[in-house]
Amino acid sequence: MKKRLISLLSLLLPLLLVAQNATVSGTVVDTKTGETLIGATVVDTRSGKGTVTNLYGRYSLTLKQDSVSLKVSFVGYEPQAFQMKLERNRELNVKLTPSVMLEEVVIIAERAGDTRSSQMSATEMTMEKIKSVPVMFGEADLIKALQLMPGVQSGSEGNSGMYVRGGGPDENLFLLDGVPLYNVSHMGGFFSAFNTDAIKNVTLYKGSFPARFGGRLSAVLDVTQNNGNDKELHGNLSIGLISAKFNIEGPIVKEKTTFSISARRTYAELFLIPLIMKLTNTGSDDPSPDVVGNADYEAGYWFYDLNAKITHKFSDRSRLYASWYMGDDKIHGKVQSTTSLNEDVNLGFSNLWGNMVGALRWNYALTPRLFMNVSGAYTQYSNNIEGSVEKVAMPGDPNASTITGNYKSGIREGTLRTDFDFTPNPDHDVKFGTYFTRHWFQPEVANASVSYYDSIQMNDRYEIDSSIFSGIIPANEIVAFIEDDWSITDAVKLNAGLHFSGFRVKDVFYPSLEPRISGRVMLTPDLSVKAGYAEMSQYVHLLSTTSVTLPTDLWVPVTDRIKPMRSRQVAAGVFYSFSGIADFSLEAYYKQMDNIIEYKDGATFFGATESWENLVYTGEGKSYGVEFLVQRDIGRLTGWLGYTWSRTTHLFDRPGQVLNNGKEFPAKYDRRHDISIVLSYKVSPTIDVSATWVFSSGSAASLATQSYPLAQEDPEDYDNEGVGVGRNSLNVISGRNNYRLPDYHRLDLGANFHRKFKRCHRTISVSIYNVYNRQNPYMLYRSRRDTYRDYPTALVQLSLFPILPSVGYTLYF
Amino acid sequence: MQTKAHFLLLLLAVAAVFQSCERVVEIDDDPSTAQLVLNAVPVPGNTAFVYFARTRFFLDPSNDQPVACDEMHFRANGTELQLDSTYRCRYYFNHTISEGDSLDIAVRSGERMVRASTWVPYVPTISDVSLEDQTGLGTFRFYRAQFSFQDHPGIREYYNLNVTVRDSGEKFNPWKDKIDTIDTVHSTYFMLPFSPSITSSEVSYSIPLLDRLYTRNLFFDSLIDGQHCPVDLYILNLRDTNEREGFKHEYTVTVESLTRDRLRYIIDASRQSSTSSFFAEQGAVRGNVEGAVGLFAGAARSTFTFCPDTLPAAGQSAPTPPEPVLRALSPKMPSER
Repeated sequence: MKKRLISLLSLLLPLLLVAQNATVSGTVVDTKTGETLIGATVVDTRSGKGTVTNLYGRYSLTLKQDSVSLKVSFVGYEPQAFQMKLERNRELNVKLTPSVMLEEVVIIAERAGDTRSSQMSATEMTMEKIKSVPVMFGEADLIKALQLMPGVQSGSEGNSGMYVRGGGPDENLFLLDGVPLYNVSHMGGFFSAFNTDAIKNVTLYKGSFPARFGGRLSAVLDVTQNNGNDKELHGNLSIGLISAKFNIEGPIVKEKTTFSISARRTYAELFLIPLIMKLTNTGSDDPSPDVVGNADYEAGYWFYDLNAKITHKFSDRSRLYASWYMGDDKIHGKVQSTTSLNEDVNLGFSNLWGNMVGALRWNYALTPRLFMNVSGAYTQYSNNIEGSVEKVAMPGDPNASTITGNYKSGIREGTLRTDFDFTPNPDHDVKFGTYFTRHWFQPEVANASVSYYDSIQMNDRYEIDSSIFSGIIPANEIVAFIEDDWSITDAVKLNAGLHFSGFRVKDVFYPSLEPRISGRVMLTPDLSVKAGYAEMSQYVHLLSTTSVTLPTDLWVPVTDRIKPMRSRQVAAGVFYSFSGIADFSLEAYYKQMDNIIEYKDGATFFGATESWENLVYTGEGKSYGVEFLVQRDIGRLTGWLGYTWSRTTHLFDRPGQVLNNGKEFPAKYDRRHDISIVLSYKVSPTIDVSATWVFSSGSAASLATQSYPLAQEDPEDYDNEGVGVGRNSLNVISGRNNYRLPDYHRLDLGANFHRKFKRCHRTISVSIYNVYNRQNPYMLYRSRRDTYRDYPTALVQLSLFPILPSVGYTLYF
Repeated sequence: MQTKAHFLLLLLAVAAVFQSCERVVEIDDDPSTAQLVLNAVPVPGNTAFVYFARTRFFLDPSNDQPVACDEMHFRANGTELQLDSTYRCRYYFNHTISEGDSLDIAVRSGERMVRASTWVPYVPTISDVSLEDQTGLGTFRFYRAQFSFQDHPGIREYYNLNVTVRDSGEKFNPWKDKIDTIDTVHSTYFMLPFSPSITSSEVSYSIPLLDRLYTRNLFFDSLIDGQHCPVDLYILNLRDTNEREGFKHEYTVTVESLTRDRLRYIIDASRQSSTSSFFAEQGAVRGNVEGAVGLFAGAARSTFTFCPDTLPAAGQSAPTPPEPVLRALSPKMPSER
């Protein structure tokens, strides 16, 4: 079977038949932990041919049968060199040792987005980089670190949403070990769902997408979890301002089977909820809940997440991975009150939402040149809201009544996938594969019931039960892709591919063939120019009420009326590596989006009385901009400076689907200028300090500055008009997003103090968020500052986070 | 004592933090963005009246913003009406509005022209009213209202069913003289329509989950050609826990016949009013006035009022199904503009 497959591939790809060659392949790992290294460079210094390790740390380099001089290197590790006579295929597994500090250039790296790679519009983020950024509440955050890169913006203050090159937060594909994650935040978006202790590698693609990715318009965030230390047990324990977490990893069978477990939980409710309860309990002096007017409150909020992974190495060529993620948020409350002498009323509310992701993956190197990956995965996101009002039967009023309601929504999907890496010769790196996904969308299920109970006659007096069940909507998606990273000459490299996808929902089938191409030309050994073109399709929409991430956000599939979103993006740029000390890049992009959705004026999906399809219009959008980045990863001073100039507009002028009078309007997240400066300095082996400054132009919002009276039958009614938002007054909406909020800027400072003990070491992290206490805009609202007047007297800006100091403690063992 | 002091300090700190999170944004009035406003809702039996002004800066507290009116021509059924009097931005004419009136107006203010036209719908005839109190001893009051009204042949009309309630309030205030909207009074209510003819519900307020079951305005346009429309409503009213002995309330059921322009205007205005929060994008209210914002559209309505005190208690009388009664109607109707 294996030979047949190879024969078939050989027929399809005659370029693979290269005579007089031999292949050296293997895995590159960390010598201390056994963790595979992603993106390590393997180069034959004699011929100049090289490759990089894939997501599983595997490489394959086919060279002429001759003496070779291999150099294996990776950022932060001592490079290793090997001399050998390559006469036949060889397996060479490499163990690299971490270096203390990189003061000089020791690598010829080819990471996504750097000077030598054919990939552009991509950013690789190491955990060290993420942890060096000053943080809010003492919690390192992957998404917030990425928001500091050019082309990536945050939706609002402290939010974990990502707006990439003019795309909305639902246009990003978040992959955790290759499996989509639908809800990527906790606490209404203030924390991302990714626990940095569980993560090994992160790559963000903003454009020029490789053909193996698809399903979203604007970005792909590929996150790989730690496999676990295969030598000895290690871990860490962290305590932050509002959450604690731990990570433990080690061998189950030494150098064969490893595990890695990370967990995190917030304890914000310990001090926030009692404070809120104290402030809201405004009853009489007697605190007993039995006294009329008094109430007994119970409330809580928590989130947790759990990452687990087991890796088993059957042989150097075969590995099995089982990974698991689950994370939930829950907010709940209960009020027990005595509202009159013969009446007790209990109110209850809870909202539980979260993700669960599981994946089983098997890698096998079929031949030294052909690497196979087979996986099965399951992911689900669910949101469940429950509420109840219960009137307790009391002496003198023996009747009890209960009103209950719940609201559920969610999405589930299962995927089977096979993909291959094929490196026929040093000039080609071919990736191809296919996968099938079965989706189950459950947009909403609502139930409500009202019942009365007569406790004397022991019977139900009245009952209403009703439910609104939009049903489970199944959908099938099939994808096939092929891409080749082709070194045409030493200077010219091309990555070309095709991504085909087909989506079937409710007897409607949407096919899409998306070409992807990107290439680079090395003008000098340090200077390259790149260009890329990518088409993308998206078959799911996120219905959201605000720019804030809320659990009520709803994933829905395309329908026969709401077509798939499409995008076409072209990008070009210049990349320069200054003696390996700093990397510069300047990229320009232009993106067109089709079939994007916007809510109709005045529409919101939550609590709507009609189908979501009737609440939205489809239109088009475009975004263009220039991104500049200079970054330094080595030495005592590291960091980056990013600047983005961009413009994003939407146009809704299709018949019957007109917004803003059919005129173009700025997208809500359109921001003209965006600057990020991140600096980290290692003062001594025990102290490092960091600083972040961000600036971005104000985002767009709709603001009506003129109003007029509602049409009245009776002339006297005009005397009681009120102004502004009063019920008898209407606003003149001159245009969508016609007003700019004030600019956003902020300075954060942080410091880490490390100390080594005999068997462990600890880090105390101190950070100050928003050092100069800038009141950044979160939202604007019309305020009735004068309580005696029933109309707004001021336009008020609400800011969320003032200066926020925080401290965290981490113990490594 | 020390705990209280600590708690006070904590409160002060929290207050200081959150107080610092708000600030007033300076925003200036730009007079060039002001627009003309023309409003008129001619209703049968009322004196013809027009409101003509300009829009105001939203922070300006004054009610009326007068604007020069160089010419105003208001015509009913092709005949120009005489201006009777003016008061601030209000213009009264010597004419009493009747069913079926065809109206148009043209106003000149400087170099700006404003034009609009409409007609006055026919008053719906309500008959066969049957009411029943189905309230138990629980948290809700339930009233069942059955009635019918008649559509007019040969013309497509639009209707709105609405219920308003006024009450004596929790502090035994006298009944308010005038109820503008249901939200300004103490009670809240929902309607459960069971009539097969009533098929669409385009406007709703408040409670998200229950909105799917209950609504406060029912708009429909499925009645044509003189059909007799039976209506069966359940009115559900939350009993407030602060109500005391002697509490009284009164319901008014309204059937309003609308022009299409007024229907669209009410829907838009309701949506704008209910989306003042940041949860939804505020939309413009569609008017029918050329050269200005506002509405120039007729309406006609019939109402009946009931006090629950006078209704038979639950189980004491069965509701009587309404008998269809066809009324002789005018065969000639003006067409919808």
